[in-house]
Amino acid sequence: MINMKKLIEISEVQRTYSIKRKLLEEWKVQFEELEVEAEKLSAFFQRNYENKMIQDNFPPELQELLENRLEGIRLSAKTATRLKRKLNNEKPLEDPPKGFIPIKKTNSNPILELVEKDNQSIFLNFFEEEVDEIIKVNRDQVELLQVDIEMAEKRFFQFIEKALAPIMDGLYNGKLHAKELVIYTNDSFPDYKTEVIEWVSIYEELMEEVNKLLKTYFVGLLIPEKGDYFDELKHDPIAVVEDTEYHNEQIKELVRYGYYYKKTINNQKNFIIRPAQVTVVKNLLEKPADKEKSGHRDEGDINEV
Amino acid sequence: MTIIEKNSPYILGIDLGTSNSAAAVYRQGKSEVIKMGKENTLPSVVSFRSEEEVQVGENAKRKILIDPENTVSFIKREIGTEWKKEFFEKEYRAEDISAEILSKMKELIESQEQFDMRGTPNFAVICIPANFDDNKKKATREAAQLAGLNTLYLLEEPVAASIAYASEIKRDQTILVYDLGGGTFDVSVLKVDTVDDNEPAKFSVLSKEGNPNLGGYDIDKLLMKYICEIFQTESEVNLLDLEADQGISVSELLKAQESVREASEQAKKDFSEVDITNIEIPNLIKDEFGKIHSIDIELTKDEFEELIKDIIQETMDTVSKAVENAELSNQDISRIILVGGSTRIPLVKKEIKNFFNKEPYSNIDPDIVVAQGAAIYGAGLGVPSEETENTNEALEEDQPDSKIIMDNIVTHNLGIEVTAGRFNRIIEKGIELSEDQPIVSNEKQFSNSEPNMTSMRITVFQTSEEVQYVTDEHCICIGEFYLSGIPEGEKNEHRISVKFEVNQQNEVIVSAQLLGSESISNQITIQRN
Repeated sequence: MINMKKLIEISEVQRTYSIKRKLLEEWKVQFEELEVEAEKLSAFFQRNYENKMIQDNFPPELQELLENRLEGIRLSAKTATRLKRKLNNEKPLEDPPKGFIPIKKTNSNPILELVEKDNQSIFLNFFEEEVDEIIKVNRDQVELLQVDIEMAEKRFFQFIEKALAPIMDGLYNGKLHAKELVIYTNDSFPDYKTEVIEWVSIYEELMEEVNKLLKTYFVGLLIPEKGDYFDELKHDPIAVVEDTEYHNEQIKELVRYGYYYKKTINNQKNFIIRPAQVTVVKNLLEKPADKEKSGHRDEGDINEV
Repeated sequence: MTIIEKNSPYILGIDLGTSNSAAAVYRQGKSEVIKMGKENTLPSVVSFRSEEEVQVGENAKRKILIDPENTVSFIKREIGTEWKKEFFEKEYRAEDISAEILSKMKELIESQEQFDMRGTPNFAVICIPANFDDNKKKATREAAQLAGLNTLYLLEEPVAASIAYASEIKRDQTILVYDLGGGTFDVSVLKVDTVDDNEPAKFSVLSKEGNPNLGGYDIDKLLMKYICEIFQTESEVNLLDLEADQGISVSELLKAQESVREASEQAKKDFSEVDITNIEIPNLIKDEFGKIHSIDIELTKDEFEELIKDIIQETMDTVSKAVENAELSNQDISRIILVGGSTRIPLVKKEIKNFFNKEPYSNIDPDIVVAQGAAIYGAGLGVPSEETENTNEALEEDQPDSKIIMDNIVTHNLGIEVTAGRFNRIIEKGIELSEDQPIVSNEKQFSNSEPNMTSMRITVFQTSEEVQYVTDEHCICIGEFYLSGIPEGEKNEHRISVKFEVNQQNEVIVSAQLLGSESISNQITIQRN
C-alpha cells in the first residue's frame, strides 16, 4: 500500500530533478557566454600588445629592456589566443539525460491526484509497484544529472586553473619585474621614469581585464600578504627560506595568486580552485610561533583584488 | 542509554596507495567510487600539527615542504618494516600512519552525502601490492583495525583490477594487468573464468613481475629535464642547477622549476589528446644581466615518445617476463588492463598493441579501478555471519549476482636458516594454490650441527628472489620457534624433519619433529593473508 512517505519521496525526487536540471542548463549557458568572453579577452590582449610602442627617443639600453618585456607580453597574448580552444578541449556538455518520468506524464494517474488532494491512500495498492518504478527510474536520472553537473564544474575549474591562471601568473611575474625596471630607470635614466611607469602599466591593464572576467564568473583571487601565516587550506608552499625578520610559517613572498569560487558548491563556501603559491619562512633556531598570538587569520578570511 | 548505530552492510573496497588512496562500494549492480571530499582520491600523506591535531590528505601534502619533520608521505613503502618516528613525544609505526589515512577515509565516507551508507562503515577489503610479504600484510591488517575497520580480505591490486574488468565483460579470459604507478611498476597475469553466470567467477594468478624503481614520476622528470635543457640552450640559465654561480637566487630557480614541473605535467596529459602542445611560460626568470626569459616551446608527441621510449621499453621487458613465467605466449593474453594515471600516455597503449597485437582495454578509469574491484569482491564476500546481528541487512539490489573464487600462487620462496647463515628453500615460489590443490607442502630433513644440542632454533624466511644467505636484502624473517627436548648426542646424530605447508588462506604452517620421537615436536602458524 502506498503511504504518505512514498508520495513525499516521489515529490522530492521530482523537485531535486528540476533543481539539478536547471543548474545544468545554467552551466550550459555559462559555457556559451564564457566562450564569447574568452574571445574578447584574447582580442583585448592582442590589441594591447600590438599598440604597445617603444619610443624611439628612449636610450638604446632602455629600448632593449623594454623590447625584452614586450616579448613576455607577446607570449601572454599568444597564450590568450588559445583560451577558447582550451575551453572546448573538454567534452562539451550534453543535454540532460532522457528517461525521466515527469509529473506531467503521471497527471492522469491517481498517484498525482493523491498528491494534490494530500489524502491517505486506500485505493492505491495497485499502483505501488508503479510508484516504486517511477522513483527508481527518476532517482537514476537525478544521479546522471549530478554526474553531468560535476563534469561541468570540473570543466569550469580546469579552465580557470589551466587556461586563465597561467596567463595571470605570467603577467604577475612581469609586473614584479616591471617594478624593478622602474627602480632601475629611476636610478639610471631618471628623465624617462614617467614614460616607463606608463609603459609598464600594461601589466595592470591586462591583469585587470582577466580579473574582470573572473569576477563575472564568481571567481575570487587569493592574495596573501607578506607576513601572513601559512594556511594549508589556501596556500601551497613552494620553498622554505630563512629570515629572522619573520616568525616560522610566515609568508615571505607570494609567488602566484590562488583562486576560489565564491558560490556555494557541494555545501562548501569559498571552494579553493587553486591555492596561492608562496614561500614560507622557517628559521632553524626558532620554534613554530603561536598562531593565536601572532595574528593568525581564520578560515574564510580571503583577500580579493 | 547510549544509542549505537548499526554497521553498514556495504563492504568498502580500499586502494591504500603509495601516493593516493581511494574507496568504493558495490551498489545497485555496480561499483561506485566514494568521493574523498571533492576528489576521487585522497593523498596518502599525514602531517602532525600537535599532540591532538593530525591532518591527512591534500592539506597534509602542503606541509611536506614547510614541516617535513612532522609530515609523512609514501608510508606504504615502510609498512611492515622497523620504521618508527616520534611526533610530539609519541612514537608512531608505519601501521599507525597508515591507520591515520584509513581513519580519515572512514571519516570522509561517513560524512559524504553521495548516498546512504546505512550504518557505520566497518568492513573492508583492502588492496595490497602483489609482492607484499607477510609482515607487510600483517601490518596492513593492523592499520585497518586501528582505524576501526574489519579487514575481510587483503586483495592483491592486480587481482582487484581484473575483477573490476571482469565485472564489466563476462567472458572466459586470460588477463594481463599493466600497473604503472607513480614510483613502481607491476605486471600480473591472471586467468578469469566467467563462462557461466550461474557459476562463481574464478580468478587464478598465473604470474607476477615488477620493478619497484620505475614509475610515472620518472617520465615527468625526463620531460622536465628536456624542457630545461632547451631553455638553457636559449637562455644560458640552468634551472636545475641550484649550486652553479649563475647570479640567480636559489629561491628564484626553485620558483621557475616549479612552473616548468607543472607545465611538463600538463604537456604529458595533453599528449593523451593532441599531437602538438605548446609550453608557454611568460616572464619565467630574470638572469644576472637583467634579461627576462620566457619559455615558448612547441613540443610534438613524437619528441615526447622518443624521450620516454626507454622507460616504456623497460616496462615491456617486464611484461614479456611475466607472460613467459605464466608459460603463455602473447597470443594467449585476451585482455590487457591498464592501472595507474601514467598508462594514459599513448605510447604505453601503442607499445602494448605492438606487443600483443591488440588494444589494451581502456573503458575503466585507471586511477580508481583497484578500489572498484575490491568493492565488487567485498560485496561477494558479504558481512561475516557472526557480525550480521550488529549490521543492517544488505539490500537485494546491492548484492552481486555472481561469486568469485580465488586461486593463487605461492608468492615467495619459503625456507629456513641453516648453518653459516645459509637459506635453505623448502617451498618454491610460483607453485599453484587452487581448488584442486588447496595446500602446498614439502618436508626436508636436517641434523644437529653441534654435539649436545638440546634445543634448536627454527627461523623461517621468505624471499622473492633466489638467494644463498638469509642476510641477502631480499630475504625477510617471518617467524621463528624452538624445538626443545632433543637428547644430548654427537654432531649430526639426530635427524629433524621440518615441514612447510601453505594453504588457501595464505597461512604458512611450519612444523619440526625429532625423527623417532614423536613427542619432541613443535610448530608455528604464520598468518599471511
